Amino acid sequence: MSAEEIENLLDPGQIEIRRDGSGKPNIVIGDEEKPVSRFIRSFPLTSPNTYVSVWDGDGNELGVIENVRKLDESSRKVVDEELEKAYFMPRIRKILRVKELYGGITEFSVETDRGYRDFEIHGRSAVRMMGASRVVITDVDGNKYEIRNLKDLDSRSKSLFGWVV
Amino acid sequence: MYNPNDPSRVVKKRLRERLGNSESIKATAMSDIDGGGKYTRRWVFLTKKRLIVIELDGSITFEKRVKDIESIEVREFAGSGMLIVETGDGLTEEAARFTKTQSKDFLKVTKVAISVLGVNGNGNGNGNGNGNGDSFLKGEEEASNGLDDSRCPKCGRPLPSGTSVCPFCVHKRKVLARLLGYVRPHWKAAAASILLLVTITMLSLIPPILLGKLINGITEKDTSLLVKIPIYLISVYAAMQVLSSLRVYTMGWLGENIIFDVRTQVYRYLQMLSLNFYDRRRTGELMSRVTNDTANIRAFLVSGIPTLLVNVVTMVGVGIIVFTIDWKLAAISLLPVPVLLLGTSLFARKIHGIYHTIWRSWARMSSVLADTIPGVLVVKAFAQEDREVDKFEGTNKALLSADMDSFRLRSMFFPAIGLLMYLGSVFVYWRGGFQVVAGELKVGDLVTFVSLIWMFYAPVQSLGTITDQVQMAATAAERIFEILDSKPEIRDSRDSVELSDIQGHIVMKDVTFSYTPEKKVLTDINLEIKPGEMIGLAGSSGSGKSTLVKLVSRFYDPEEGYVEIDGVDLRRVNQRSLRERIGIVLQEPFLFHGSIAENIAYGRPHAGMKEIVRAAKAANAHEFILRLPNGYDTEVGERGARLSGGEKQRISIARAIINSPSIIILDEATSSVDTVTERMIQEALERLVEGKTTIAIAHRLSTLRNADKLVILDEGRIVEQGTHDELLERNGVYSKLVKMQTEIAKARAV
Repeated sequence: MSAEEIENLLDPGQIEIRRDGSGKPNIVIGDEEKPVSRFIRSFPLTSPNTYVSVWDGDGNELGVIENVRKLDESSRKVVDEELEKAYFMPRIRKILRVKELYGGITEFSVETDRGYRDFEIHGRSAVRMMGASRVVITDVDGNKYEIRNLKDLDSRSKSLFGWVV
Repeated sequence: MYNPNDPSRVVKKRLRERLGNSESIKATAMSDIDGGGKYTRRWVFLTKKRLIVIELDGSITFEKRVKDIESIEVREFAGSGMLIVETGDGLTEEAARFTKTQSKDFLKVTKVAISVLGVNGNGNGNGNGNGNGDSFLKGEEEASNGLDDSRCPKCGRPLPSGTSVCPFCVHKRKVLARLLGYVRPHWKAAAASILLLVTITMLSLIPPILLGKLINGITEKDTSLLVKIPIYLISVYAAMQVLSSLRVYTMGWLGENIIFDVRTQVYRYLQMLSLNFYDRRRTGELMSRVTNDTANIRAFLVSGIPTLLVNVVTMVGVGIIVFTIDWKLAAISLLPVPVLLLGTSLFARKIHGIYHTIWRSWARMSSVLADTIPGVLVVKAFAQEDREVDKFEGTNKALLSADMDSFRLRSMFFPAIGLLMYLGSVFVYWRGGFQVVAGELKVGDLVTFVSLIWMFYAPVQSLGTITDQVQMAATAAERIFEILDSKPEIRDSRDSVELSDIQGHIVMKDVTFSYTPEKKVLTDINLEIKPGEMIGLAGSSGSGKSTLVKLVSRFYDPEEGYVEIDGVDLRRVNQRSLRERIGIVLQEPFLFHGSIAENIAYGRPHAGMKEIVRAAKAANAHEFILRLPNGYDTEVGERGARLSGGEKQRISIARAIINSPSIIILDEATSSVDTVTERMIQEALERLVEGKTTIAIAHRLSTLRNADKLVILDEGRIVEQGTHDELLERNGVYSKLVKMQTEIAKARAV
């Protein structure tokens, strides 16, 4: 099985992704150009840039991009922009405050790459370890935050985090 | 109160300048992500004339006149959303971006735009199929919250998982007053308990005084006291013990009886509530209300309130006595009290956190167990025993370290508090000793003093934790009242009609239904099923088949239109009499704990053996039942005999047959069994449905070949109706489904 190619895989050399006049993304496969409704990550948490699926407006898969990095510069820019919009997940740089409120709810105040943010989580189950040092946190409203590498946090943030987990 | 969602003053001013006084705001939302993906705060305002977005500093980032807006929609992604506006020439623009925290407000804005201002909804111009992407994202969100509302509608704070009771909006005094209402029927026992409690507490103050007098007697060589006082002491101790035993019994009786009432009432309510109450909640969480929450309330009534009472009486009593003996010494001896209070409440908070961690570690360990023990076959099949052992060891270690944390804290706290209390009494001895020597105080009074001071310190400690207890009881009580206060949405009207002998003539007229306001599950359903007719319902999953039969059983009422049986609107029918006339066989039959016979007779508990056997025979279940060593007396359910899916299914068919229903509903009854079993079940079903009005849902279209009419649903609408042959000829949805299934069957055969 492993040696075989998966179905619907797009050859990065044969496709182009560009925006039409109104700014909507289109995909050119061979000599056919089709509008794209969304780009969907197969592994949004563990491997965001591989196996990105391209869907049209009727919910059909137009193809799968094995690795976004292999696309040409301009296509990649469009895909990155679209993915960034769809998968909003700020990266936590510093944990400023952690407070246990009530009923298993914990409040965080953090500094992220998108700015300052307060959010609340439902207990420990909202914190998911992805491997040894990467963390994904889901807040009570379903927003996601990421700690890229626990080891890179300052010691105060680390100890605040350890207090929760 | 400061609310980050309220527009800032600068924004409000800018808005006024822009709008003038005549344009009123129809809807507002706060956008918290800017175009570059950074957190920000800007506000979206919708008026009759325009949609405008103003940044925190007052700059306008977006503005469109309503009449230029062709359509408006909210697109939700993983972790964020977007308000998208389409203008006349097919151009789409992002008006604002927002996190999931703000989604609700944005949905409101689009709803207002669509309903009040007549703007078009969700991109009809570009045929945008965002529904596909959204449905699976939604599933994930629901899993993380459990409830529709993750925030308190009153204060906006997040709700603890699995409840809609906000601990901040709980009206503590009101709730506790209502809780005390349960004491009223047992007021005699309650009054007796309180009387006993106060008497015992006051009695307990006497021995130290008597002991002091005894010592005074010794030092003053008064032998009469040496006879009298021991007798008094013995009588007081004896009286205290007798009264205590009475107290333990009455309080126990009181607590258990109150909680018995509450538990019964909660359970009765749970059974009465309609299905949609259950749709929104998890089973485990509802079970915990009947067990854990009632236990919390009992703890509060049986131990919390009495302890509080004892403490207050003791402190007042001791206070009065020690201050009468020597007020200066009394004042000094109370010096450790503030430290005690502070220390205890600090300790309570710390240990609470640790207990929480312990509790979480327990939960994690149990979830490992709950995962792997039932899944042991899979673990062994993939030879992953070692990994599972490691995983368990990890959670076990976490538990160990949390437990040790609690021991460490307790091992430090209690000795420290003890030392403080000893210091207090040593200080009293030292100071009092001088007073005794100076002749200002008798030795016996000093002894009385020191023992009473000890009695004073203990209640102070327990007062440090009282607020926590009240909070816990109030929240538990509120969660229970939440159930008691929900009204079943489907109720029998006062003049409800009993359905006795019915023909089984079903009519659905213009029926529309949805579980949540955003998504219609059934739209404009018009359907007539004549008595004795069998109709087959088919369509892809999620097309509304199961919902349609739930409306026929009146588990839900339609939003618009009506369902009639024999010309009577179901809303006017007595629910019990309706369900007795309907036999339901579900895809995954649920059997209760009990014998096979009891399960077959579930709907008619007084059915005779003959009826049970006849029903089992008709259901093709008789033979396999007899092959079990205990026959019809075989226990089934969780710890009972292991029955295969097909066997359970046939028992559930027998259960339906014995009721001799006039209407039969088969919900994919044969989907999960092998072909031989399927034939057995098919035969059983044919006997069951003979001459009765039947609605059958099936994925395998072959099981519908006996149907008089087929009804094909698609996205909640009836798209085709007719016999098998008619529908094949039409070459529509049905013929496509049939073709697909024959191909699959062929592929399987190869």
